[in-house]
Amino acid sequence: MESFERVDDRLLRNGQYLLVSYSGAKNPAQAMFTGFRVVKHNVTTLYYNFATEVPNFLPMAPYGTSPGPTNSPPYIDNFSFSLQEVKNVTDMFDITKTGDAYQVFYGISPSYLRVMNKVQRQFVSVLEQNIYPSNSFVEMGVDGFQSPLNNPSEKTEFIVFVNLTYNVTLMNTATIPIMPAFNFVVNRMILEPLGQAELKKAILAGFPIRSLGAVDSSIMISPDNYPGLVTLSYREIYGG
Amino acid sequence: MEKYEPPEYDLFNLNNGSTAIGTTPAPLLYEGQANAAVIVPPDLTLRVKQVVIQNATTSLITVQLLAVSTVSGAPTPVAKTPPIPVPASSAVTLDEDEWSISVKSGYSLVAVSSAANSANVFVKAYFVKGTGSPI
Repeated sequence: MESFERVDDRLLRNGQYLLVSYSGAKNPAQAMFTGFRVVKHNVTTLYYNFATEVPNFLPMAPYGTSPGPTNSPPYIDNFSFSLQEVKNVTDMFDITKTGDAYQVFYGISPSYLRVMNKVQRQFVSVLEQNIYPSNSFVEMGVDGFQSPLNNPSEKTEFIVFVNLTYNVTLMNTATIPIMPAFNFVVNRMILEPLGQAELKKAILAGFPIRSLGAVDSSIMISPDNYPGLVTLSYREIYGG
Repeated sequence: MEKYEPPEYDLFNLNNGSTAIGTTPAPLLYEGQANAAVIVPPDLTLRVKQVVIQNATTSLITVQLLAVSTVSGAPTPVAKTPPIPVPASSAVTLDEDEWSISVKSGYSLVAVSSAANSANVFVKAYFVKGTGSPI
């Protein structure tokens, strides 16, 4: 049975804050912060079957093997979510409308598929995954045991901003071929940037802060896509 | 502890392929494009959801499932189920509720019968996280 109870509390709703930090994990004093208020939001789900949505996608080869003519590789990097059923959608997370953003969670099928989020081809560090992955990829990311197709885990969360598309790295951990499928929970939001005073207040009040990209090289959100966007330094927030 | 019920999408089939099981242990093959024995990957354990054994002869046979550490050369069974009796020209079905079979990482599932060319074995299996006993 489909259940979204694990992510329901995390869905950002009207009036709530979406705060973002840039870098700062290695040197907190260099961190920068920006933030938004959710003005409107709308939650939808999307079942994404690779067999039907990805042109010519073949089952992923078993773990430890090389792909043959009937398989995709067992490890796929930088996979973008195209929608074959919707004409001309080559990347459904490439959003372009000023002020828009998506908050996304996903369930994974089969359980043997391991997934790691990437923004602009760069591994992500969010609150629960704040460790930069190296070659120990197998130990990183989220698999379908942790985030079942019909009961997505909060650990899969990613936030898509305008012109900062997301893709994923996929790994088949099983010794059988698998055909991936995702069940996305997409919270489409319209955001309003916070002014200086409110941004500082929200951060000091302890609202959750997300980050984009790797710990040591975050990706900036452009004010061109969010007019009025304010960015504050660590010192401007915390003093010192 | 609550019993783990695998989602339908995690189940896969193994069988003996085109040659009936005989008195030499033979691998159970992935039913699909790979058509190969399945060596349990690291950090996972194979569990058997259901086994169906068909007796292709007119005599009583017994069939055992075994975990072996290799499927090439002469496989050496390290653990096995008790013999499963299958009446002449009939089939038996074992469900996980009645009989728990699991195969740990690095091993694969094979079958052997008490008589030559006598059994067809169909297994519905899935993986779980973690390591378990060989069978």
